[in-house]
Amino acid sequence: MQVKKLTIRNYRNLDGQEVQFADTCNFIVGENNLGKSNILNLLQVLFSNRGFRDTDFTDLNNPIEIILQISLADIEIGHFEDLFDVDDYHLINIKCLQENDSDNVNFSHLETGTYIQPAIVRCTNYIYYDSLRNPVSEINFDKGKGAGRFLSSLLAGHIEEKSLKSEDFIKDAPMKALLADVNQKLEKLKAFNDFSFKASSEGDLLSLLSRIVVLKNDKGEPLANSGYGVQFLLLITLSILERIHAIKLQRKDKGIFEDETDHKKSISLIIGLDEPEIHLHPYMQRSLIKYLNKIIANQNSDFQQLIKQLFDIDRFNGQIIIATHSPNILLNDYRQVIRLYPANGTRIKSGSQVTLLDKEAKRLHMHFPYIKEAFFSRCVIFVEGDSEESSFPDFAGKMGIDLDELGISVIQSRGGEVAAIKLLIELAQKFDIPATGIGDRDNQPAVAQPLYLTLKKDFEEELVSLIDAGKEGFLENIVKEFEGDNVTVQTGQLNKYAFKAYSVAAVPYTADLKLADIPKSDIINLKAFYLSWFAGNKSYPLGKLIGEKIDVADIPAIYKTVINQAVTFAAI
Amino acid sequence: MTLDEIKEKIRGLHLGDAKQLDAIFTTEKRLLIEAPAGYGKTKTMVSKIAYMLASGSIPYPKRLLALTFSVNAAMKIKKDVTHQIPLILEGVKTDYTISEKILVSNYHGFARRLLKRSGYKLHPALINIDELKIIDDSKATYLLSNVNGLSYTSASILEKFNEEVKKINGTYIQNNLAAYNQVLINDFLSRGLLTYNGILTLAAKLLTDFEVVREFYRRLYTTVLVDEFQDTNVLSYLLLYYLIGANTQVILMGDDLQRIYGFIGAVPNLLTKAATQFGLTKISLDQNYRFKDNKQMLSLDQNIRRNAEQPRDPQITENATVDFNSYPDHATESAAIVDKCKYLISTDPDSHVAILVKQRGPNVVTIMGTFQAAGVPYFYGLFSDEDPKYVEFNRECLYEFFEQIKLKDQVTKKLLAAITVKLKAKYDITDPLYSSLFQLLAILFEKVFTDFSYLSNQEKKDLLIETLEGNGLKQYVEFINATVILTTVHGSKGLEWPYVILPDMEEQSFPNYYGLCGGCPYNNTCNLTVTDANEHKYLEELSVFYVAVTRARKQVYFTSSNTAINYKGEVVNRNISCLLKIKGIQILSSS
Repeated sequence: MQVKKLTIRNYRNLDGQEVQFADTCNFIVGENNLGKSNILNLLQVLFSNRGFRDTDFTDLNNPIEIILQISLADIEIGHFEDLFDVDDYHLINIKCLQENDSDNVNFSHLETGTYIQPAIVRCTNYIYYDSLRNPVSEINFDKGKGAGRFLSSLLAGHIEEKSLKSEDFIKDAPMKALLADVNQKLEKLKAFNDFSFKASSEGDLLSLLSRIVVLKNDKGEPLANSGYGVQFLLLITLSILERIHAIKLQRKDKGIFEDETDHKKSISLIIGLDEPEIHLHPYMQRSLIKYLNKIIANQNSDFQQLIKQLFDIDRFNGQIIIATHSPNILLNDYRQVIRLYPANGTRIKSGSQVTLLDKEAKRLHMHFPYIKEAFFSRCVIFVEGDSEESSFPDFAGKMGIDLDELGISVIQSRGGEVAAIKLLIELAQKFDIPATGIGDRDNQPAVAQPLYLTLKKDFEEELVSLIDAGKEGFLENIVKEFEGDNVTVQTGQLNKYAFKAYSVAAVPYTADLKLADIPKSDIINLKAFYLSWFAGNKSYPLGKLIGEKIDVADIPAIYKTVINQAVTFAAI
Repeated sequence: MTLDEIKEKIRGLHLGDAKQLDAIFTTEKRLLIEAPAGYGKTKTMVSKIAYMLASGSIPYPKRLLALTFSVNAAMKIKKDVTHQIPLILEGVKTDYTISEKILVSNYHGFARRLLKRSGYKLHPALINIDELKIIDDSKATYLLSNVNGLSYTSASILEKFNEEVKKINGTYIQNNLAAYNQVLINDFLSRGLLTYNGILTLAAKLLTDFEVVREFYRRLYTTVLVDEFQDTNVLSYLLLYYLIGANTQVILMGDDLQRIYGFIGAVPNLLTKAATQFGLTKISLDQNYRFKDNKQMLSLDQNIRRNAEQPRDPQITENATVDFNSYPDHATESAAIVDKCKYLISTDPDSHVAILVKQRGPNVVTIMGTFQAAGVPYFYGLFSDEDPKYVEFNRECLYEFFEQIKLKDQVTKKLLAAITVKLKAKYDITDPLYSSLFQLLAILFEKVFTDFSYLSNQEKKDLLIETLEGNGLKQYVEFINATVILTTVHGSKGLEWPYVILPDMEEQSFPNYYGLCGGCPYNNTCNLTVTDANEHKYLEELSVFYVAVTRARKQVYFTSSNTAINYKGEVVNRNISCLLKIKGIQILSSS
């Protein structure tokens, strides 16, 4: 089963919100305090708890009412008896109502009001993993709690299968000798004597084994010595197994669906993860998500074999829902993104409710790795190249604006020129992300705001026009700092840029130009030199250097306009 | 337990019955199981379902839909299935009983459920279908005076449709279904009204018009089993037709010969028709367990069936002797019947004797008078399904139930007692009909808290609504505590008693004028020859006769009079019924 949609009334800060989910994997993104974890918590209450607590009510005088839309795989049809959505038999709409904090959640079929047992709803099998769990306390073979219950069941299964007894593990004579020796000493302690406490051998085999079987890595180090990341990775799969184990124990065959043609058995599984990135480095983050996706999609044969062997289950029908702050963790599908953003409280936009034109979808797909960050922003400035991307944060800084603080990101379009920027702005707007952008004028026709064009041909020409303002010295400093004192531009470069691209020279160059040799009054050659040099050297570091060195007064006006536009957008 | 062990267990339960085992173990996905009364049909059905569950051809109970004609029959199946399947499957799949129940329903109950779920697509009032008042649509005049603002045209559409359903006019039904439904949607539902047929026709509309709904049910129920299939009427058949998709497994169980409900629209030759339409493989159970130790009844049952199989040349191996006595006149016959009842009860005090008459009339009045004179109490069950007073009583009970349940939505003894009090104020309880109906109502109400105590409140409500709406009070005649029950053969459908007496086994009575006797060329001797001209009517009569005979669990007795008073008031001679002269029956006087 999969959660398709939540329509929320009176729950925490999400009153009046609707969240749509993608089929297999979902990333809930957004700034802090917008309610990302609340969505996961909400599912936890609906699928695992008895009801909402007082703090869950936006207004304690009103009921919490959630419309939960669930989609069922073919094989799961009928799980809710003969209740379904008359417009799509794979769907069911469940009204989840809780009158007040002392009540429980009541489930009913939205269209007909038919009561639905909570146990039936729980067969969705939601596993919620928040980063507050302490793996070390769970991951051991003691009967204990959580994942430990599963590990312990592995021991118990083997003991039962082989009919093992304590004697199979403990030699009687040495143990007796050991106990005799210890007790002979303990006897001398009054309290031990008074209350007749003695060292004795553990009679219960499972308890015994839970103390002699431990988890260690190949260097012999116990789990507690590993980083939290490793512990987290171990716990997350054990949690899934533990849950299936518990389900089998409590519900027996209920919620296990058998296909009548191939007799494969499947079970529903929805995994909710809250900020899994906290303890994992970026590579690990994606690796974990891909692994879980494979498990849910029944593509990890090892895991499949294991659940078949342990629980006689062949497949999952499920979904993953992740709340995250990390652009790194997003996989490359915009439909999986559920974006929370501030706008008089929280607003929510789901990728699965966004429809894109073909060209938009293509561009988004191609650029997704680079523009993921946009989903976490309050506003995006799309630019053409490295120079702008690297210089804008400093430009803004000089203008007294902290882009990070305002949640403004600068993302380059990576090819496609102005048309690409226009498309990206439109794309961002479809996700309710306000965006502006600036492209190179080149020979472009006019554009409409919030898209802007440079006043000059491009970033380089904007910069070089400082010469006209008598600020050639700034350019010289940049060139010298970036390349050294003896800077020359080759003939080929001069012809490529100054003669052809920018047309500052009337005739082609036949010789190189050395900065030191150009008289400060020779504006043509100065411009030819700088345009060729900046164009030839444009790069992230150069842009960064420009941004750091430039005076606020010298920042090209058009860039100031764009940055101010972004600030206005971010403030809305 | 492995599948082989289950098979072994089932083999043990059905020891030596090749046909039953064949029906249970066959891998055919579409099956017609022909099963006469007493041939182990229920047992076969239970094992069949159990085996299908164990072998995975029904992956879990929810995927099976079991349907039957009456709510009472559905409840019986439900009880058998939920109690016995877990015993067979002990240790195979866990937790069959608690978590997942097989849906066993009557057609109307199922259609009602369907409308409750998705009927709002047709009209919002259908969400609260339990609150709609069922209006009798057999008379246009009644409709006009009971449905505000209904046009004469609309009323006529309903009346005509009702009539054609009874006549089993399939073509008419097909062509006028839409118009019938339109009247219901336009004029009935918004007024809080519905018709009994409308429950089925609207469900059929839902399944036709909404592919999503049809597909949902076809996916939900991958196996459809129908018991007492011969009693399926033309509208229920329509419902069934839509529920069965290309991949649906189908098991139809029944016995064409037990079909006597022709007059309320059960389709003739239904089993054969369905077998062709759904591509069913037929398996006929062939061992009579009820009479395995009663050679006389065993061969009577068998020989009637042989006559039905080949009416012109029945293959009889051994004659069945039947206990038959004829008397000079009805008065003498009636006295003998009373004596017979007294005798049977004196030898078997816990027993019951049912006197099944073909029709009401002066003969029955004589029998009742004789019982009264002899001081022998009896239960008066001489009302047919169509009897207006009977139908009206069922309706009144239903309305009163709705009134009470509106006040408090909980089926309690107190609530049912309140209904009885209200009703008793409306009827003359000294009238033998109403006295009987109140007895039946009391049994139904009692069963809600005994036999059906395991049902949920909603299921109890459904049971009561379905029973009363389907005019089903009569089904409880079986549980009447009286030692002597006087009822009609038609009214005895689906019921059984230890002893059955069939009086008036003479010409113009059983069969009667409308059955076979009118214009019969053999009425001089009543030695009937089956021909093209009379075969159809003969088979109808033989069915009724077979049903009458098979109502007896232990023994059936026949009586007749040699004379009768005809419609002109003249005393005329009467032959013994042609049905007692069929091949394979040898009458033997016991007195």
